[in-house]
Amino acid sequence: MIVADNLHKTFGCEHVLLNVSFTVSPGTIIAVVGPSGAGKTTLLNIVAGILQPDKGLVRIGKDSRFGYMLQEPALLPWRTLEENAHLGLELIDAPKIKKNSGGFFNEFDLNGSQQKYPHECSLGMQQRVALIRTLAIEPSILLLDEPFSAFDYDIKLRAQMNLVRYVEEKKPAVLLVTHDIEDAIALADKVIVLSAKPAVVKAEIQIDLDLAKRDPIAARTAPEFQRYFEEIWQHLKYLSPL
Amino acid sequence: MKLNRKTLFVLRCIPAILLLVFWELAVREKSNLMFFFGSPIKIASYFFSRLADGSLLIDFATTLGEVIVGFLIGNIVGTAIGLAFWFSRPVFLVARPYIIALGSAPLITLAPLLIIWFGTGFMAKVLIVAFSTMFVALFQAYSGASEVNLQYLRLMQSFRATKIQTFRKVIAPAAIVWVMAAFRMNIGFAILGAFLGEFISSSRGLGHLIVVASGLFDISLVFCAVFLLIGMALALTSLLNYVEKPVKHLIVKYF
Repeated sequence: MIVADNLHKTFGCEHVLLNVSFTVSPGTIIAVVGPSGAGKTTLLNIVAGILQPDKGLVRIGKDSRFGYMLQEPALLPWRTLEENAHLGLELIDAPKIKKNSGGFFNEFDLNGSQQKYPHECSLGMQQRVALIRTLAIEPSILLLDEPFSAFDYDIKLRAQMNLVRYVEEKKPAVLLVTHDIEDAIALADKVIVLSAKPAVVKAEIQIDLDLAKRDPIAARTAPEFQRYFEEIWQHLKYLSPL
Repeated sequence: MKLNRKTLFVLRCIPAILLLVFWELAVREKSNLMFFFGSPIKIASYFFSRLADGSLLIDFATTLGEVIVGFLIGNIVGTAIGLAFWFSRPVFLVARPYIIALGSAPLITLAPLLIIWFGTGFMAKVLIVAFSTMFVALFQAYSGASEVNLQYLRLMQSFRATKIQTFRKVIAPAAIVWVMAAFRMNIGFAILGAFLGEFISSSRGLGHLIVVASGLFDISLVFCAVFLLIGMALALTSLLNYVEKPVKHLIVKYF
């Protein structure tokens, strides 16, 4: 559970966030879209507790565990992919979770690459390992900063299927920052549109695609998909300096 | 062209052999040139005769002992202090001018003081060697620790890692490359330090041998000792190459 209440943040004399509030319940995905440089990463850093807001506060459930996937993979070059995936497990105090990422490597089409080093892998592979590293600690709060930006399209769709399955099963509260409107609609329960700097919540759009269950591939062909796309784009196109 | 180890070795020996042959031919039967430059054959005969009576071995072992013990103390202490400074940048900033002052004081001015304070024996030379290697190790270790890729630090922050965890998982493995580079540079400084200590005051060691031989204008004997010092540097460097990989592996694995 994440409750962000009236967040303000300034860097020097530049306002980055103004009055941003939202709630993410367990098992739901909230996507944040907005023009680049709008302060989306700043928002994630504040929720993660890395940055302090100037005003407002972030409340999280008791005993929450954060899984924060950064925009860059940041794999440690002296560790194999598998050792990189286990980094989070080495850092958190969670004896119950087994140090076994084999299933994840399988799901994300990385089986057989466990012993490779990051420099031997494409950026897309590295990003998948970063996602595994984040999911492996079984976070109750999942913060994702452009997690699919370096994925090939087919791998992206499969990764999104896996992510959705994971969310259904483990029920984390997910805050997804993305520039991709389609990803946002296909994955999220609600899309928050931020304005350009200083970021205020421009619109909150509840997504209801009328599917039997959450499915990011079926979502893309749902009749309502176009309408949501149009609606979000109408908000964004006046914000982005095109 | 791809070289295998054997051909590389042979090719590397050729310039040295040519130099020695030229040297020998140039000074042969010219007693004035022989006096100033010595001769390779005389150097070799000194080497074998002094090896046979054991004196060369004692000199070599004395200097090698000073170099190794001083090198280990200097590098370990310097690296430890340099890495410790990573934990507190303010402390480093306060300490920096003092460290630079100590590190940049010419060793030749401090070495006599160390001899006065710690005597003319083994201990004083070890300290001189430690002193001459410590600052390189310190600054390299601190640079390695403080210039870690910011992405990795953000990553550790995202996992809410403690400072100790960040040190173990990121700083130490990232700094090891810099620390190893410092060790390599310090082999030369260590030998220089040991020589300097012996040059100022000693009763044994290759430095002592050089002082005595040059006092007697015995150039071949000076060269004999100089070549041994060079050989010592080469041997220590290749020993370091040999242990570098396992040490790196150990740090990454167990930190």
